[in-house]
Amino acid sequence: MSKGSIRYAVAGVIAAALAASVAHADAIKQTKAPFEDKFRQLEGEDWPTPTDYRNASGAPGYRYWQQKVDYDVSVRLNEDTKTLTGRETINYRNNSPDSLPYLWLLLEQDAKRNSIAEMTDTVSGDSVSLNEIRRIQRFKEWEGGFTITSVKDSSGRPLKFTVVDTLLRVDLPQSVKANGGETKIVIEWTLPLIENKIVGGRSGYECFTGKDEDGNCIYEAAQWFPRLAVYSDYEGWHNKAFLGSGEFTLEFGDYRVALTVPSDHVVSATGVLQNAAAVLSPAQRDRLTKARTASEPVYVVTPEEAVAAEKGKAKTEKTWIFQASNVRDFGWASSRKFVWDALGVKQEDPKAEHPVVMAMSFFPKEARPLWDAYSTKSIAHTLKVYSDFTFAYPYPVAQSVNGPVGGMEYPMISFNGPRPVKDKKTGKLTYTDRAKYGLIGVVIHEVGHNYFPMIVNSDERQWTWMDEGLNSFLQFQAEKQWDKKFPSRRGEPKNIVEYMVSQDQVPLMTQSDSVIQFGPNGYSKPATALVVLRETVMGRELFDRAFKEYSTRWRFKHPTPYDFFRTMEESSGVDLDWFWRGWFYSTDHVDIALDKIVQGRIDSGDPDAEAAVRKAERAKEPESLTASRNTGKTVVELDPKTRDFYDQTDEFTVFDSARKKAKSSREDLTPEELAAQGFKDNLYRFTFRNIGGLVMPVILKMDFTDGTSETASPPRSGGGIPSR
Amino acid sequence: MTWQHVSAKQLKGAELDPLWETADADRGNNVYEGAITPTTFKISKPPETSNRMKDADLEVGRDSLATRPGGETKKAEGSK
Repeated sequence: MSKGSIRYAVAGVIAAALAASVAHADAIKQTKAPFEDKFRQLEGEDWPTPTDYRNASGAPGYRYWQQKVDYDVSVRLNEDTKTLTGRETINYRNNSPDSLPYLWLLLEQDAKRNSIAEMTDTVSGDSVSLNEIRRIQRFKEWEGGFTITSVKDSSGRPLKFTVVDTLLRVDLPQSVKANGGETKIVIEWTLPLIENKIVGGRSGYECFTGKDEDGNCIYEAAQWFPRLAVYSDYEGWHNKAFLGSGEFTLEFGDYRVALTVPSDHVVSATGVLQNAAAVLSPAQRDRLTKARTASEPVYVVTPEEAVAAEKGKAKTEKTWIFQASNVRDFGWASSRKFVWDALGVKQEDPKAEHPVVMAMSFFPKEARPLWDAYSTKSIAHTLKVYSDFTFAYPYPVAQSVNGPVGGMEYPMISFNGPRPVKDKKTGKLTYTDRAKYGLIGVVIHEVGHNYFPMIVNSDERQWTWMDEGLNSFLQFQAEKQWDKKFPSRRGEPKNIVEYMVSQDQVPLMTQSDSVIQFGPNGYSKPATALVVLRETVMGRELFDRAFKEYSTRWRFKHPTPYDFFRTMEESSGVDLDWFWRGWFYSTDHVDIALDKIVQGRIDSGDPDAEAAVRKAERAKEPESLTASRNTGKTVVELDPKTRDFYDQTDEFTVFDSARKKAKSSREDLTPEELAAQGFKDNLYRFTFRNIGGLVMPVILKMDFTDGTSETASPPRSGGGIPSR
Repeated sequence: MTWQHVSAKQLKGAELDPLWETADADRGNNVYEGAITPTTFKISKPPETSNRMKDADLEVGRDSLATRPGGETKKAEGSK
């Protein structure tokens, strides 16, 4: 993006700092005129007061705390009924300074039931799609959501619980003590899985039961067990119902999950497989070991093995056991259709917890050959680029699974959709460029979500941009490092214009469920804002350091927007409040016009020279149109007696009196004044107008008649920042 | 608002955001190829501060605040 032209470090210029707008509804008011201070500081007025838990520089405070929630889960997949039956033991450690008499858990799959989400769903247009009808038909016979069979304490006594829309409150006989108190609860439940292509959502199954298909299914499980809601220093319980947009806000903890599935299934899950010997053949285990040091992805389950498995249907079961440390969620996928490939990715950071990360992909034959070629390599590329911008990947595996879900992220595992197409008539296999770049892009995006929000654990239910925006920014970086010509959907400044000028939009600082134009708002605009911040406002050096600082500070913690804003400013020393105000707090767009250029010279003080300049300027003006169209002779032309002194001189005629006066005033000049009067350079004055209202650096390229150009812009790295 | 740039060279035209990096919504008003308006600046001098003592044709000496009639200005003092 950066061209080699010399950029003058002039004081940057901002157009129209003062513009008419409604005054803030706060104590400070300018009541004398319509007034908006676009450079007004956010600290002290709009941002929350710093605390011992999160400090004024944007870092976790000296008494920062967060809860720890560990899960021990056993779950069985019934392939005939497509239902999960589970039992979990939750160990809740209360590190907060408050004792807690009840716990809130999340039952997000209940959004598919008689929920706020379903009841408030609206329709538009005047047609009904086939999928809509199928969905309505499905809901007549299928009730989604959890059935909570029991909630007990560790000694088996039933606990009172209440389901509130997508939330579950468990009342405890005794409060969990503050500052490290612990409690255990045991929950049993069943959950019918969603047929994803009909019901929709971020998980579910897909069956290949069409003509010429093998009849098998892929199961992708997510939000499949009751998970603890976050309890934080700034919001208490994060118990806002799931409406379908604001995704998941979760606590860190350690997981041990035993997944019982048909014995011919292959399972991919958050964490590391603990019992490979019980579920994989010796040859498969050997291939997995070889993949660790291979230079190309190695098949752990070969395409031939997968096709062979598709032909049977096991009556027996196997249990796959996974363990994951310090994760905020757990997802998994299971199918006898899966091909599995793997590649060890060496991390560049010598302090990386896992010097080699296993990048692995799981996909049916229908996804081949695109997935063999691009999925695992895209994972490897993601880990490299994202870690360059943030920190070494702290988990042992990173996985991409093909199934019905178009693109969705969980710790160490992601569900991704794009496949080649097989022509129904001819059987010809082709793939579109959209599928190819869509696959690479979505794998980068969903694997990238490990960094934001799986590790830098922001609150998705509240702020979409904090994970989708930051992640889309890094996705754009990774795509441009994959291929300079990568057809990136989000990140390029020129591509955001259509959204920025649109009417039906809300500021980025809007709660997720209230966001309209979700993609451009949650993803594209914040991604573009960060590109502009990096390339145009701060420069790469300052931006990259500050961004890394934010990522590192909030790694395995819960940041808020203010922690991000404060860190970016404190780490770089650049005041960015005007930038946050414009891009994150407003719906202004960028449109700065160059209205006028004036070329100034300094009056030489020589009356003859100055008169000549004035005369030459006058000569450029056309004469009176009326006078020029008159064909008859004028009085002055016809009658010589009317001509006098004033016909022989004009306003540019210089007389000795003026020369004498100029000479005497020159004698009064100091040497400094004389030198100034002799200054011959041009003083160019450029007049700008800020039409869009968004405050931005003014970058001005000036072309000169000798063929040279100069670009004046704010310093890109270090130094000052645009002022009025 | 107006911004100034000084150069010995003769300007031909100018363009805002030439690398398309700011998401400017209307590129139609970014390029200036119109007439550059010439102007001549006189070097402005700060206005003289009002000086009632001088207007009254009085002066003081270095050793006292007491005023006395001004008379002829002595240019010699302070210079060589």
